[in-house]
Amino acid sequence: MIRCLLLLITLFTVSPARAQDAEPPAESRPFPHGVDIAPLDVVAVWQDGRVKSYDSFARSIMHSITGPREIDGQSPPLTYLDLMLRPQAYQGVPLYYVKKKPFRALLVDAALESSSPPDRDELEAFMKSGLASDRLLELPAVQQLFSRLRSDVLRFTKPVEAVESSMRLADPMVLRRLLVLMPPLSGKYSDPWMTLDEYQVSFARIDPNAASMDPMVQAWLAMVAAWQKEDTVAVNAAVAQLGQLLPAAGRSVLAEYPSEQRLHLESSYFKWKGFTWVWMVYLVSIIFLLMAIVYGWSGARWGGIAFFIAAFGLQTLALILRWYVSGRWPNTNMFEAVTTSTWFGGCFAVIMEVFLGRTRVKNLFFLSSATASMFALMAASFNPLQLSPHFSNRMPVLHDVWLYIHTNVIIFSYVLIFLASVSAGLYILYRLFRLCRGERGVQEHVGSGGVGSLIIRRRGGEAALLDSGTSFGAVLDGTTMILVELSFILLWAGLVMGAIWADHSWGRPWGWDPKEVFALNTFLIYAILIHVRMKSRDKGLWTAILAVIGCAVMLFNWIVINFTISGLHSYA
Amino acid sequence: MNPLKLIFAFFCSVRVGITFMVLLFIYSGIGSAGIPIHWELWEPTTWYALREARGLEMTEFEWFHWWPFYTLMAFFSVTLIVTTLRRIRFNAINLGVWMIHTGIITLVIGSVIYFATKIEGDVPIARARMNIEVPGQEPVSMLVMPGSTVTIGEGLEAWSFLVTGIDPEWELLSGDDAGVRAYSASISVQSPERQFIRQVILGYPQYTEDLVASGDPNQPFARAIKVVGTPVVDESLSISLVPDVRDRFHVMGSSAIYLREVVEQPDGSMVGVTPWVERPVEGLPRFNNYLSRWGTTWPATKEFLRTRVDPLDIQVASVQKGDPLADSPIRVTDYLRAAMLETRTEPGGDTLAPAAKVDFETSEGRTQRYELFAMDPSSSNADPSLMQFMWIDDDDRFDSLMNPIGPRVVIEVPGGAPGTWTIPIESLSELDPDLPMQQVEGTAYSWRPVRYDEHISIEGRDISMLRVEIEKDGDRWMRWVFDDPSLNGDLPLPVPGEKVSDHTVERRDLDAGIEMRFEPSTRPAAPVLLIAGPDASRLRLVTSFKPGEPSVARDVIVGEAMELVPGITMTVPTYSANTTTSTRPAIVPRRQLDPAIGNQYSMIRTEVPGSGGREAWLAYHHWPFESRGEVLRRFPWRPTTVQLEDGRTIQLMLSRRSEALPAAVSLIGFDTQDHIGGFTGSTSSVLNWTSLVRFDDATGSHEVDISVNDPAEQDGYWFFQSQWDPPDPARFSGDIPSLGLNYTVLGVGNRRGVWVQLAGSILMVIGLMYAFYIKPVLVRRRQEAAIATAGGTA
Repeated sequence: MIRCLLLLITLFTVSPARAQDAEPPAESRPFPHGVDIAPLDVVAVWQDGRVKSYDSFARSIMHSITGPREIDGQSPPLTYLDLMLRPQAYQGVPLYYVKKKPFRALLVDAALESSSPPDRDELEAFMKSGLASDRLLELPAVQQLFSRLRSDVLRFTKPVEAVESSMRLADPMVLRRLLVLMPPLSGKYSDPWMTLDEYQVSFARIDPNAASMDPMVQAWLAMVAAWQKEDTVAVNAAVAQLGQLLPAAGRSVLAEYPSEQRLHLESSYFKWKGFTWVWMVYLVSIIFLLMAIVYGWSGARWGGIAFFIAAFGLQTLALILRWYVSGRWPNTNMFEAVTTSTWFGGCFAVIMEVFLGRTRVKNLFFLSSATASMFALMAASFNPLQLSPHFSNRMPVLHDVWLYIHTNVIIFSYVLIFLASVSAGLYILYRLFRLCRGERGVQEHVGSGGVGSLIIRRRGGEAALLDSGTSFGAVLDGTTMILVELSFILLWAGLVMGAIWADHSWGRPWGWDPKEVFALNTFLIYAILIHVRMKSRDKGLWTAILAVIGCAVMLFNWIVINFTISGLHSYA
Repeated sequence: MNPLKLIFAFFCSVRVGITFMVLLFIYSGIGSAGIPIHWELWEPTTWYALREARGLEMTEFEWFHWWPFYTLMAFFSVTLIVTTLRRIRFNAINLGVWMIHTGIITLVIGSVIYFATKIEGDVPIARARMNIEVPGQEPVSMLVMPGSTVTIGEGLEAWSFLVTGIDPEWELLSGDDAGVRAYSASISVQSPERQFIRQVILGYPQYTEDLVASGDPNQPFARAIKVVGTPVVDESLSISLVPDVRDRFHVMGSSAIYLREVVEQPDGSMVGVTPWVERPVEGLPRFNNYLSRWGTTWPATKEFLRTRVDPLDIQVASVQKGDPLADSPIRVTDYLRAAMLETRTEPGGDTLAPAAKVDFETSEGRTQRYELFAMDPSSSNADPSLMQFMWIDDDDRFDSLMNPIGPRVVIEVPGGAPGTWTIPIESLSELDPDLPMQQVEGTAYSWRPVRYDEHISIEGRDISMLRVEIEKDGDRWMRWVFDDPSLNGDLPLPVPGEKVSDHTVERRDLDAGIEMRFEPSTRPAAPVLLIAGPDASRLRLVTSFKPGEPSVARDVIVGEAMELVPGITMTVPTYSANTTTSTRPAIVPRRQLDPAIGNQYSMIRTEVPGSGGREAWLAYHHWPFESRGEVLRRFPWRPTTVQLEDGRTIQLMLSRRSEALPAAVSLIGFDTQDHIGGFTGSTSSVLNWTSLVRFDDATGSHEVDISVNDPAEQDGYWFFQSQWDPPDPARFSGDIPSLGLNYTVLGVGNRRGVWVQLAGSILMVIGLMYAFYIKPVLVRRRQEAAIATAGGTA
């Protein structure tokens, strides 16, 4: 056991170190690798009605250009400035992310038909990474393909527009216009912020000499000039100066300028990739917990719990950070709904294990919750385009107390549905295992629902889930039912709360929107489950099958309906 | 067995109840998300909602209010009631189940009340209406929208008005109201005497003032009070802004045909002689195309092949008084989900109207296609300064192109020295300031050319113009001499050093003592000139790329590529001398259709009684605007005009049914609450929108704020914030950009039965909690009581 632990710890700590060893030191690599933009972490940038840290802002813009990829190993905030100030260095460089692989293939076909096609290596690299160069995208054959595909509204308009918009966004003048660093000198909350170029111009209107003497303007111009000369030392000096001057100036004119701590934490949050890598810690926890459940090893149980608590602690830290930085409870967009939902699942698991940790159901809530969190964080980690972690303002319709009530209740019920499907899935596997061993006609289930199986005594003995003689199948069935019962109530309560919100927001409590219909359908599956359980002989198996189907309908609602079939709830 | 008992036994079964729940699940699924028609589940094209199928054509609302759904729900409810009554004893243990089942039945009853009486729609309300009163003319009222225009009166007595700018947040600078922000409109007025701009402010008529031409090129307009001493230059003109009052709303998902009788005005516009009347249309499709026969639309590749002849037969009867076609139903025969009226030219017919398509291709593979029309150059889509298409009746015209003469000026002095003078001016320098004046023989006039411009395209017209200086008896002025002498005009000479644009200089009276006409050169009007004729089959290309060098002519063979210049080839894929032009709808293929647009671009074809079987395609209007002056920005107004055999003319429009509002409603103010950095025009900068509205009914009037998540109730209807008017840049040349906030759209709906629905839902929640968490405790207590009664533990 200890050997296993040591091996895992070594793997986690040594691998990144080796990866770092493989890269040459930044100083020996060409410009801008030696540039240190860390001082800008505490500089605020205005973007679409929000004030972000420079790091957060630049990542969100670069995310629209390069997608999840990094260019030449540079951090996106560094690439932003480099692209803005040395655009010539990016001519012909694969920079623009094309997500859909079939779309990439069409582009490659078009490029190959061109009179001067790019070389094969470049096209193969594009197929692999999804990054296309301006040279590739500007080929007449590719441009003609775009104009042809644009008319295929449902399938290709969005990807074509995404590529075109990322090319427009990468224009150095656009990047410079977007870098809105200076709060309004009036100090008014609702007055527009300025770029440093605009600041200089407005200053110059009043006093041209003073404008050129302004230390902020001087530092900005010095940084621009040094960057274009690729003078690392001078750039670092100017960046450091801007990192001091801009926040000081901002705070002197605008009371709402964010604190250094908030900006710093926001930058750190994104540098730590929103803690989505925590899925790996959950994975380790799952391995240990499975060993504990299957073999009954106490060491594995404590190892699993230790990793679970570590992972859950990190996820909690990420949630609190996000809450603090965004200034609102994180349940507004898809990323937040998914991660907060599984955090609710973690809380529920901890509570249940505290109360039921000495019963037969021990480990099962941790295992289910770890599985839910692992999948959610993996989805966020590997699909940052769909589950974007970037901050944006809420739609006006979401500014309502019901956002906190309805959404949280619904996402809590969703994670319970997922948790139930994990224990139900285990039950099905267990039954298959027994079937493979030739044990036919086995019917394992608890007698009286979920909570009932914790309370109601069996004939002449303990309640089913407290009884050491209860079979493992029945324990899994009881766990599934505890989760099903609570999610059944919460799902219905959440639907009713959503209807109350919709009534005063859209003027109707129920609009037969696809998302509403499939939430109701999930409820219907659970209603069927409750009644089938009453009537069927093999209660455990039917419960497990329907719990998995219920989870599939819930996931269909959350994923396919949201991303594929439009509706009123497209924001989460 | 007694059949009634059989039925009773059937509905008393839990298994039957489960079956109904499974059926409800399937019904909901296939009608909402749809069924997957291939394996790429992530592609939107995979999911086909059955309710959209030909023959069904249902919205989600209609799918869930169709008889199969009602039947399922009825059977399910009966099963639930019978099973509960027969099988579940009413006691403390089963109280939870009873509450759940009672809650479901209560919810169903509430839903029946709710959906049976539900009516829902929207009402757009503009910030202001503009009332214009011109002496001696009927008053005119129209909405205030950027670019709104109206002409009152005719000929020399006409007044024209154009809203050139709107500031929804204009800050008042004078009097006690200084600092107040109000809705202000600037209206450009062209009166028979003068042009000026009138600024009017909603709620502050005392601050109305005019801006007049100042003569200062840096600030062309100045406040009238500073220039002429009075705030308004024309007291007889009254322009006032008043709130826009609405008393009807438009029902979501409904259809109606609106019609009125009109008369045509001299300028071609139509004026209603009867008010619009409404005819509700029932059963109009939504998602598929229905054609009564081939040939009514332009063919559209694969989409057209998927469309089959499948006529509609919907009779739309008259229901309102004043219907110009009373007692005569209008028959709807065709429906197109999305289509655009397009005018196309096809080969054939007896009319000489040469048309050609021209393709250019670069060596890099870029291609560009143009369509050219010899008799109607304004319909050609090529830049006329680069490429033109012309028809020649004889070879002399071709010779004159190849061996050009001119440009020339023709001068005649009526009543003076006899004869005319045709003077070539091609050898004269255009910009020579020292060119001497030359005497018109035998007259007091002398002149010199200053500059000429040939074949300028102005508003689709080909215009050539010569500017000359004229002197007579010491008076010296400038004349603009056109190829159409009726356009000629005299102007004062520009003052040296003063920048005056052609648009601001004022004309002087035309000196009738000397007449001039400009004859432009006969050389090709564009570097690339395609020439058809005099034989219908002959097509030639004349290129003249370098000034001073002779033009080059080549015969063109249709379909054959020819090198235009190195690196660019030109092909004429089609050419016809005789063509016919007609206007029909072009169907937008399904794959080009954004589902979010709904039926915004739908069209129907109607048979209008008394029109002699004329085709009348009606385009969908989201709101049935009464006239062009009532149109909200971003929305089209395309009524169809039909000439009846009895000489009357009627206009028709497809839109939605209207219903009376419980109270008249008007928009007093519209406000946005913004995030940090203020309003940028984008939705992301807006925290909330608020419409300040006033309700007026028999009991009086009151004002109320309506914002997102904060509706207002009025006589059983809820009014909620639905849409807004964001800033909108100019969309085409000559368009006036908008700062937005010129109107709001309020959703309107009733909500009977929601409290019953809510009561049922809450009862269900309580029942579920009871059944899952209280019932086990009760059972446990009973067990303990039983054990205690038995005298010990088992």
